[in-house]
Amino acid sequence: MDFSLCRKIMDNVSRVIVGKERSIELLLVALLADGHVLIEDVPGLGKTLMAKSLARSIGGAFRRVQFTPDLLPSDITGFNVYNQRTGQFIFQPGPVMANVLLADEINRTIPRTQSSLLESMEERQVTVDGETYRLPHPFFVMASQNPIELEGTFPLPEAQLDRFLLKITLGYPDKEHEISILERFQEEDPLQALAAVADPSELAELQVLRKNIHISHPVKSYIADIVGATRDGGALRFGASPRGSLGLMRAGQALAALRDREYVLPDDIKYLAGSVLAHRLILREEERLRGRRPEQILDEIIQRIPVPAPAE
Amino acid sequence: METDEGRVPSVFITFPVLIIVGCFLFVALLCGQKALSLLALVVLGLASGTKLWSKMSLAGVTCRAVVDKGRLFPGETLRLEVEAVNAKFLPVWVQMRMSQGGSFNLLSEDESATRESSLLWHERVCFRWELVARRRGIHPTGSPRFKVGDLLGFFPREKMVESGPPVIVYPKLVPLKPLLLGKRDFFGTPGAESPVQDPAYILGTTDYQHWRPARFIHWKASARHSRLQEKLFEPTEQEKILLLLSVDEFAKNRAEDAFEETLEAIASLAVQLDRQGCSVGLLTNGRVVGDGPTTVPAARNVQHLPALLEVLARLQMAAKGDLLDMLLGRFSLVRSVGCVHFSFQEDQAAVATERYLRRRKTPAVFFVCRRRDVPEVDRPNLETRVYDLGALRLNCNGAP
Repeated sequence: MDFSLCRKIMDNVSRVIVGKERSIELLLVALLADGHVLIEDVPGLGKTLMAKSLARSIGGAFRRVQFTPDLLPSDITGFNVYNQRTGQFIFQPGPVMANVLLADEINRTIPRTQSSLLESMEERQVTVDGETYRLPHPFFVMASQNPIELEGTFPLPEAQLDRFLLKITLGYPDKEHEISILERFQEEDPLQALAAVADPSELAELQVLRKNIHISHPVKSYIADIVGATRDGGALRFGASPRGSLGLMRAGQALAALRDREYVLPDDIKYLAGSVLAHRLILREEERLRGRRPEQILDEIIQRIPVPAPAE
Repeated sequence: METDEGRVPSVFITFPVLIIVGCFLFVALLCGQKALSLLALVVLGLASGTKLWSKMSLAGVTCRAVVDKGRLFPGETLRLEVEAVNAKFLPVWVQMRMSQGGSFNLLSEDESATRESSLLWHERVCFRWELVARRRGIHPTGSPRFKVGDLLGFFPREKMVESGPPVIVYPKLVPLKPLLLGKRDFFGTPGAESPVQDPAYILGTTDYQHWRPARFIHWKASARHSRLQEKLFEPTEQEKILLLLSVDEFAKNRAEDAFEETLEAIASLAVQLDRQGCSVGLLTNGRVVGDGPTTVPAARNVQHLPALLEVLARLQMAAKGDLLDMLLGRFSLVRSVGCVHFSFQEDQAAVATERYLRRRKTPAVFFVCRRRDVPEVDRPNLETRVYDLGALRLNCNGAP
């Protein structure tokens, strides 16, 4: 199984995005696992730039939607228009009909419009006026949101959050990387010079190959233990769904593939658990008032659960 | 780590006893009593040996305390784990003691505050206590003390455990009645009564009703649905409430209980308003323990409410300035904010604040802990609504 194409994509994105190797790797994990990504961080850290760089690197149709409060579901999915010449309704596809969809500031729009993505993200299809249309394959949604100010925003509903395979945060660059950014962007925008290094059909093949990555029973049991522990009450009101455990398994396979392995290690699961599960967890009110975050609770759970030994 | 050199010697190894043993040894040697000489030598050897052992016992022994929660409410439990490590070959005896009666109590009365164990070479031991937070504030975690010494426990030496970050105990949350605070909305009541609609906050669309103004029609949505659709609006902005706390009179009257009750009411109100989707802020002229902000602007995000509760936890019953000066000075009071003012009684400072807020047309409600026992004519005249603090609690009759 040759996943070297993914390495090429990562290197290509790194020509624009400086010092965010882990985030880029996670983007590729989501892409290989046929999932979607929610990028959450404060403004100006390169969320949109990262999404655009990846979209350009993998080729295919790319659409960007700036989510605003007056955006309608049909602005995403598409709508039927009456053609006076033919006397028939013609389907006008929305931006969702693309290989890569960038949903910028997704929490700025109303829940009704946010929900219009539910069917697309899970079933890879849209239904307009009773007619169902298949989306291109692969279909990859990258959404961004700002967590700082909640005023004028509509938090994503749980059902919507659950459909994102990973939630990624970028964080501020350190001094060396900040200088590299200044130097790289001093004269020209490196995004303009970025060329595609893959095409959607190649990625679709890799997604199929990813399914062949071996995951042993003890590792599956380890995933089940982690997900089960999130449902045991305690600090969490709601734990992760079975979609979460499936996501963790697929993401583990994708990470193993990216790291040139044909099998998943428990360390892959530990590495990915925070990004895959944290956004699916709902804290109890008192824990929220204590300023705790789901990531901290999940860390405690992972520390508590024994890692399967190789001999098991 | 602070070392306490004080010792608690065993009654058999006390200095007078050793002098007597020395005398016995001298007499026994003079009289040629071999058995008595041997016994005296054993006692003296044991004393000097254990003393040397005890002196060396402190070296290489480290102790670390961790808690499972950094923030909690009064009455909640906290697990304290103290781990002692003996990083040398000499075995030692350790005794750990939880100091009680301060900010934390042991959960169970049957549970012992003192634990003992022996530590062999390169061994570690972990002691656990379940503690209950008793009162609001910033507290060190139980301040456990531990004694280390020889395995016979003749010459123990005491050490203080390195305390980790302090535990923040928020004010207790109490059930409150819903607070009806008049609000001022620049764009009027959202919907048909509004003189101006803010186009930024469209909640959604619905079928157009013929009595509604045509300006509400969403033409794009109407074209897509092939029937007239109208816009539904969100409120222009989220309601903003600023909680004001004047500490002066609490400090002057040394009203500690009233101060704690007021903080409980403020914390509960902040949580209640946050649940209703309001942006809540806090401005107080009180001093706070340690570094950190004393004010929290009205905003709404994930870490906002914990930050507000932390300021309340850190607050001391001592004023560091005038509340009105703070309102007039560095704190910018936004136009759309409503205020809830808390003070010990209807004093001149509260009157001045009320006049200022009224001049700004800021809706405000005043809560006092105690009505002054002065004739009505001498009482400062607050024209805004003034209520007793108790009326805010759910189990009390009367407004609000």
